[in-house]
Amino acid sequence: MNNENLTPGSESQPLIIDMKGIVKRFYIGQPNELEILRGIDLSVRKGEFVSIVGASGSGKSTLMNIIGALDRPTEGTYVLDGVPMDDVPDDLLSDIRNCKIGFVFQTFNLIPRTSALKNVELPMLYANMPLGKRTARAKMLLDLVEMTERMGHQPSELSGGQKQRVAIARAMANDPAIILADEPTGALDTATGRLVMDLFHTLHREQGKTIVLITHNPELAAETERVITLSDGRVIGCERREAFHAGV
Amino acid sequence: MQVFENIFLAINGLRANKMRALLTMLGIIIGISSVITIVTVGDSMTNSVTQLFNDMGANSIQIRLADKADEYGNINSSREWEESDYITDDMIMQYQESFDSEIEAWAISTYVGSGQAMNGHNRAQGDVIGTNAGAIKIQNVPLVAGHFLNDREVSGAKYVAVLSDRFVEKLFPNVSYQKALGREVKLRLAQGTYTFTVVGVYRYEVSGIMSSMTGDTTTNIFIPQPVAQQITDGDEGYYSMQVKASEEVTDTKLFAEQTAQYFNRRFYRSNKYVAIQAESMDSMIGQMTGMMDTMKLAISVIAAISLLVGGIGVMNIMLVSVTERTREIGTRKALGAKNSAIRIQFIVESMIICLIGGVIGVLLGTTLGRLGSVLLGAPGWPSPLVVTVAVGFSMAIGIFFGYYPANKASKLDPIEALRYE
Repeated sequence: MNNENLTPGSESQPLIIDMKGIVKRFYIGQPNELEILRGIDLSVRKGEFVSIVGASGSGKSTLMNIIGALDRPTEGTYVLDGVPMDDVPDDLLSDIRNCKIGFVFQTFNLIPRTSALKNVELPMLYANMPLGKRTARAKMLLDLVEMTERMGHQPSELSGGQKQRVAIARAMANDPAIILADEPTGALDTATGRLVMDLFHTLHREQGKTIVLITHNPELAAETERVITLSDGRVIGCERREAFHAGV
Repeated sequence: MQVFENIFLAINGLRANKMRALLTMLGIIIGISSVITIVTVGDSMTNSVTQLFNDMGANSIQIRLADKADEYGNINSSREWEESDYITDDMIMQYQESFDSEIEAWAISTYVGSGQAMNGHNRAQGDVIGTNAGAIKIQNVPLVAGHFLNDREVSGAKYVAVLSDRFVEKLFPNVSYQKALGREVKLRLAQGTYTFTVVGVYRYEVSGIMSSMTGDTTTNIFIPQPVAQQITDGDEGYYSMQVKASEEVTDTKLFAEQTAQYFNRRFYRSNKYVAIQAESMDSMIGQMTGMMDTMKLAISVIAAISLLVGGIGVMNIMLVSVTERTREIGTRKALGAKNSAIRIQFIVESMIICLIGGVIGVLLGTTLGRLGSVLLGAPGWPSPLVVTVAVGFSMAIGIFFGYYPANKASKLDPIEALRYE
């Protein structure tokens, strides 16, 4: 594993993700013990737009869960935005997810029977932000994703692309250190998927957001600044794209 | 924390599954409404009975004949009371002399029979009761005109009568109560027709459970006891009497015991079959209230079982709800919800189900309790305390039975939950 290769040397921005020797095993001590991640070193600097690609079973999802503070590594160190993630209790993990990570899921995962506005407010609610302040911010974020007109609608009244835009606004709610997008266009048609990708590019370019995109689609990955390829629980490639394609 | 958000969320969730929510609440509704109904009816019955006894005078005692058990403890039930067994005027006189300072008044009464009076086309019906002057101090006979039977009328066996206002209204329409005094009333009884002069009119009160027992058409006609004696040509003496204790008596129960002892030592020592029992109204009220309380307790136990079953129903539906919303729980956790936030969300939801069920139960129970108590002739409303306790208890059921599903939800692994299909 060549650590030099993983770190974009010329950048002077601070590290948001700093992973060293991450190992994840399941069914530890049992006959069917499984090693999914076999020593991952990964660094992402502030403001980067990185994609993680790999075939099914390569460990993408497990890595994403660890990056997203949903899971803890078995071995190795992970420092997220300056916070070491060793042995943090559940409640602190919740807080970290709440304010440092913005999740965007393939299946949107908006809360049913709850308006777009309330969905966007949710992470701020869990951060105990006062009602007036969070409503104002939710409206601003919905405006950013051009969903102001639909903010009173429930998820069942929105199209797939609209749902994903609301989900992106929700991911931005607590101004997280990373937006972690797991196959965000997977459930959308090409045209709508294109719009969603454009939105990520805009957020990256104009808001300076750090975005980690998990995908199996090499074309989408090619749009990002850096493509990290996983295979069998290891990083097998880290391609830095000189001529960054900023989308349309 | 985010209590209002949770309440809003819970109500939202219930609105999405109206039928399911209602069915879930059913156990709580039935439990709470039956408690409210029973307590309302029971309380108003107790109040009414207590009121009735208080009207008779809480400081009065009831004296009556009772069969004596033989040396083997058996009561000869086939033997009927004879004239020699009865309480005589002479006994009462001696008793009154011995307990002069304790007795304020005493009353005896004899049921003569149902009598009908006619005045042209106007008819009125009443139960003829032979009594003495002391009855006014013991029974609830509020006079609106004239006077009650006095000692002179009673001892002189005068043919006078005290009627109820309703009786007068029926017999002499458009005649004031005052003008009814002195009028003659021909009463047709089984034994013949007798003429009485009206000396008093009392207000008939539809009070308590007695109204439903006696109906509102038959009121009492009071006549002097000796006249009743003449009409019925019955045995001399009484098998029961009431005594009102004076203010000097502080313990009516003790007074009742002393009275029974006095009669039994003095007049009934040689009587093999009959003895005197005396009971204070207080103890009779106590017995009645005790009976009501036992009934209330028994039905409350049934209601508690219904609430338990209702609570289990709520738990069941909450478990279903947690499973259905696994993905939502996963999402919430990914967005930063702490375990406690998820737990509170589901406990609030379960509490809201039970609270709404409890409120519906209170409304239903109030309606049924009102209806029941009115039908039993003792209208009442549930006490605020009962309502508060019922609503509070239903919320407690929500918390208790919601805790397990809520805890289960809070402990879900976010990764598993997000992957749940």
